[in-house]
Amino acid sequence: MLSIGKRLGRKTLETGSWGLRWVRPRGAFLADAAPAGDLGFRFHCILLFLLALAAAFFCTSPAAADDFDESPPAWEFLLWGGQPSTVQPKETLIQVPVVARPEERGNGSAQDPRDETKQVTKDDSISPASHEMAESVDERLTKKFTPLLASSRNSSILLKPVIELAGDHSRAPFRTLFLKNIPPLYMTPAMPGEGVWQSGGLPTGKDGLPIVYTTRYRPSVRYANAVAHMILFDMKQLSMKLYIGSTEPGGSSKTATVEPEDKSRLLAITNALWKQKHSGEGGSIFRGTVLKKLAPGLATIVVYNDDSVDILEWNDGIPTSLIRDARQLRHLIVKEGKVVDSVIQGGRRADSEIGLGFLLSEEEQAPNSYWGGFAGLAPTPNYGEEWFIATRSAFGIRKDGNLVFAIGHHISTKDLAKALVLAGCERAIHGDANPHNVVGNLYYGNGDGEIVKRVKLSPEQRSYTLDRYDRSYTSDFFGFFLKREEGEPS
Amino acid sequence: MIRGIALFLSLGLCLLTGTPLLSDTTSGPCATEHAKWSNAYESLQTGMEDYRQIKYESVSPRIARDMGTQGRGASIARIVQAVLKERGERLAELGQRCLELADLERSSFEEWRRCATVGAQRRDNSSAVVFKSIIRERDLLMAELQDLLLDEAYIQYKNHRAPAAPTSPSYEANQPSGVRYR
Repeated sequence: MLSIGKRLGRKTLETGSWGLRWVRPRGAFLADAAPAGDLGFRFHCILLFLLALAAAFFCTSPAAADDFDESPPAWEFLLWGGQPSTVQPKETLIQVPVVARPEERGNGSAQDPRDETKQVTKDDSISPASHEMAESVDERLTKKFTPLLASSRNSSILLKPVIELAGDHSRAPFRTLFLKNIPPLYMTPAMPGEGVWQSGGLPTGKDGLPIVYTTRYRPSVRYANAVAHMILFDMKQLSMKLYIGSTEPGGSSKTATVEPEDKSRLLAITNALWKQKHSGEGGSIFRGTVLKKLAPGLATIVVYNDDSVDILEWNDGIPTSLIRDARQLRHLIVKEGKVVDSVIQGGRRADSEIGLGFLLSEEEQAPNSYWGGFAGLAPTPNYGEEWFIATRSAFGIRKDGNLVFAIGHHISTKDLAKALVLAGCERAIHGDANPHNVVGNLYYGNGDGEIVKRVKLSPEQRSYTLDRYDRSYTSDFFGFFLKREEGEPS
Repeated sequence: MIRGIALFLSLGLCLLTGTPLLSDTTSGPCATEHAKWSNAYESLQTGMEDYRQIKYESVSPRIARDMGTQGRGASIARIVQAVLKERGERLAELGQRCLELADLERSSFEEWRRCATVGAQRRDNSSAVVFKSIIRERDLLMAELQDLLLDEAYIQYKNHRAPAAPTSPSYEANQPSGVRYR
């Protein structure tokens, strides 16, 4: 052991191969210790203990996490830049993307629902590498868990009438909403209710008719474990409001709290977009006040004064006086009913995937220590081969003016966008991302403003997000409310 | 700098010798080609102006008008979207027209240059100097066209570097889009 000989009172700081520790000098005994020095030592110990307690509290408390929601998402390292297929335990091979039999792909007859939207991207093709991977996995597990694409040979389920497909799910009476169920991409493993819009058990309007519909769908050919959980809001029955996070520019606890008079009509809360500082030129309007000027061309989610909602590329000619709330983020991920496959960057065509990277900014590389590395060691990359796989959300608007919100876990931007296209969306915008921020809460009230039940849109959503909005919250979010009836006081 | 000096000297030489600029091209055997290019160039400029006019014209009056006429019949979202859609369609149409005119301009210029080069080889290279300055003008116009036609949604990425390597399986190493020129 090497003593670095740094004297601190009666103790010496020594270091060995395992680290640093406090030691007493030779020949020193408790009885020999001067009372004042020992008190100091005890004081230091107590202080350290309290600090450790505080650190443990802040690391584990959801409330604290809310306050520090930019902390490194170390718990989701794999999803943010790792390579799941190489590090996952064998028992979870169900998540390995083994998606097709060569003959099924070869004859071109696979019933890919994206054919409807004429979206063909390279993402959808099966690379030789994925076939090699498929062949190398354990035969037994492969047989048991390999998801199969729906094909013409196995398409009986696709040909069944919608009502039969839906089982008990879509029997709720519809208003004028036309909902087209999405034929599943995978035959096995089956996911009950996949692609079927259902309203059973969901909050209803005062007349008992549905106002929201949900479904879940696996849109990715490459990643079978990517599930998009979607909720469709009937915007003829609902109104939508933006809330500005208390720590956001222009935000306060007031702007970040659902107004007491609205609580009895509260139906759902979703996350909004990225934090303002990560949104580049993206602007915002809150209750008619421009907090930051909207930039032309940027994808914009907008709530007009008449409660109608849209997602569009902003144009400076749109009078802001018509707008109640708006926020912007990057580019549309669905445009003219098609997934946006590429964007123009620096004069060249580039991939449209939205990476999250360090603090949600692709332009900044993480410092070495960000992912738990140590200075001096090789940098820990925050981008891997699967850099575009993340927990993310998106909003889409349909031709009928209804809004669809989607949450995807372990999913690419384009696959989430594809799910929205299949849900009938014409345009879509990327929402907030990372497991801590992605939220789709449904609330069941007793009519007196008291919430008696809360339900997550996705089972993978963090449970602590369910009551996060009972008080003010630091980041922006959207509230969905039952519209007031005519004559009802506002 | 050297080019500038060369151009200056060439122009000076032209003036001293009394050789009219493009004497072989604006009149004589290449006059037709020159006129054709000149027309195509002007058409392109006009097409760009038309595009520019629609691009920078405010949609605000149109929205206000439609709000007035449609009243409570349609939602604001629907009215705004209809106006934007119409504008988008008009821009797409004019943008396509610009690209076609750029193609026409390019081919007519090539024809003229070929003709003029053959003629110039018999006498002097003064026309080559003039062509250089014309090419420079054309380059500026094409850069302007590329800027003009850049999707408004991607102006935010204008100064971004494109990813160094295609990392996503969905990445397609496409050629730069926009104006195909030279």
